[in-house]
Amino acid sequence: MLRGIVMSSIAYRKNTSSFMTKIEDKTPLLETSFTFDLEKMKKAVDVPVHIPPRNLTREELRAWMISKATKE
Amino acid sequence: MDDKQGDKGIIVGYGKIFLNKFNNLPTKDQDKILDFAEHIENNGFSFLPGRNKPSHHVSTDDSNFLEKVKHAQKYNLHHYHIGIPSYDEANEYGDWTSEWVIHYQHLGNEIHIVELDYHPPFTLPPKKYLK
Repeated sequence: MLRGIVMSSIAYRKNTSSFMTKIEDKTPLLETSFTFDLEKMKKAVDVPVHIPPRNLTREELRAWMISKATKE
Repeated sequence: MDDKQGDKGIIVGYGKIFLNKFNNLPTKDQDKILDFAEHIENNGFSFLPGRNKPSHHVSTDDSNFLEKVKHAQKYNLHHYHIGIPSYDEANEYGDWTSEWVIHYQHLGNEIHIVELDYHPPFTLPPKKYLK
């Protein structure tokens, strides 16, 4: 049943550029098929997390983030 | 969204893997992430444009459904449609979707952004996003 819904959703999406399903536009396609890469997420939660200083400007925060990515 | 997610003044932290990806993004996409961080810090989760969901809502068709649900619950993982490369605005504001999502842990008064990834069932993104 779900496979049928997804198939019809894809067809509908191609015709309308919409993410909504053909079934009365109630269930977005993405909501019925969410998943994630488990191995990637295991690694993602197993690395250090950095907290930036408060009250940085946008450009200061950008620079801080890039520095953490490149220098540590 | 629960009441806690409407809180203001949330601290945003960044995981190392996410920071490495951030560093490789074009400036316009970095700006979308910075928009999100600023919004969270100043306004909490209220009135965000994109869809924001707990990540334990995994498709029951997934062959690894149970382990993914457990992992998402254990680490309180959520994902937010960040607007990269752009938003599909077919749904109402607050439920806009995009091909890319950020994955974050919601830990009390902090969130930790830990990954940037594409959202199935979209097709694979260009290589420049896969560094």
